[in-house]
Amino acid sequence: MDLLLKPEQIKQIDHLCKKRLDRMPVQYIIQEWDFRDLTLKMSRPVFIPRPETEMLVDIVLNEIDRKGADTVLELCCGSGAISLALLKARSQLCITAIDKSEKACQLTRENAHINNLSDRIKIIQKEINEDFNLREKFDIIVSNPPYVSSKDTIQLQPEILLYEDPEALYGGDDGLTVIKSILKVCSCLLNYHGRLFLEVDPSHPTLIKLWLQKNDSLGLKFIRFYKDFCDKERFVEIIKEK
Amino acid sequence: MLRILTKPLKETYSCIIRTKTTLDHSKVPQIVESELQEQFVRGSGPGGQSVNKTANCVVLKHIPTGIIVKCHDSRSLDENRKTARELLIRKLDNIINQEESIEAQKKRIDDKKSATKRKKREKLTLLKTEWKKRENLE
Repeated sequence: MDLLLKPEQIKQIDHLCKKRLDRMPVQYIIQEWDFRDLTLKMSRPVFIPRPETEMLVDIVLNEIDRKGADTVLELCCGSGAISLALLKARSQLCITAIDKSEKACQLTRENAHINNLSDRIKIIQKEINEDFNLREKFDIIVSNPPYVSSKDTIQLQPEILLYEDPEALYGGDDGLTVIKSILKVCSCLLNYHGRLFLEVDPSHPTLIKLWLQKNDSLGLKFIRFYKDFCDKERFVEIIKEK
Repeated sequence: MLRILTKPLKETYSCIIRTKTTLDHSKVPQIVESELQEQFVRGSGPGGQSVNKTANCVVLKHIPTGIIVKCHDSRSLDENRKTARELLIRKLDNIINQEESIEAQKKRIDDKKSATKRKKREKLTLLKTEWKKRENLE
């Protein structure tokens, strides 16, 4: 059946189309998007979850089941996609989610509320640096940190360059700056035999493995990488050994 | 007459209790991941954070049979991948099992239900007509 639009509706569509012509991402125009079985609110400039990251959730769920874990730490949570997807999938879980951006923390709080998961998530605004301390240790840590290198930043689509938070994307010259900070901090945050799961750029797994070997005082060992649906090395698994 | 079971039902009976409306899933084909070929629209380059595209269409090919299914129902790629596999199983089931496929079984049950309902309606209409006739006579 055909639907006849009222003039106000046509005006609204026009308004939305103008935004799209200005290269605003669809997710920011309609202010929502889906991630696995959740619908999340999207709010500029908080980073929009990418489809690859859905697979990271599966990888972490596997570890949660293997260990029988009931707590997880997420670093750089953004809109809260990973944490909330984990919470939705496992009712026994409680998660601590960290982001340095106040807007990201606020959005995560809203998304937790929308999806009735607020009672099992603790959201803390904190930056990852040498002073980072949580007074708690974890068996499982997950993160999708900023990992875009300067070379790749230049080639980003306008949708990303103009609208998404550059702090959520830029990982320094080689894309590893924030990742290295996370590795240092996780050395103290992980329990013995605890694991860290990261989403990274395809160029990173080999580099991370070498860096951890060189910086063995951290007591972290590279276990393996996982490929994404485009056959790119996208996720790394690291264990705390000492 | 009620018979009180002293043992739990599972121990007393070892067969599967099937009713008229239970579907037989025993013939539904299984798919093996290694026999599948998936295609996604993601563009060239490193992907991941450096791309923001909303196209989440999954094209799934079953290599042994050459059957292809497409799924773009949801905004989540993960959900589309799951749905594509369900679609593929349904398609394979229909082709391989034909009359015995889940869809064919469901259709038979539904057709039977509609036929029963129709007969009931017709009988009721007939009874009403006869009652009216009797009333008019009086």
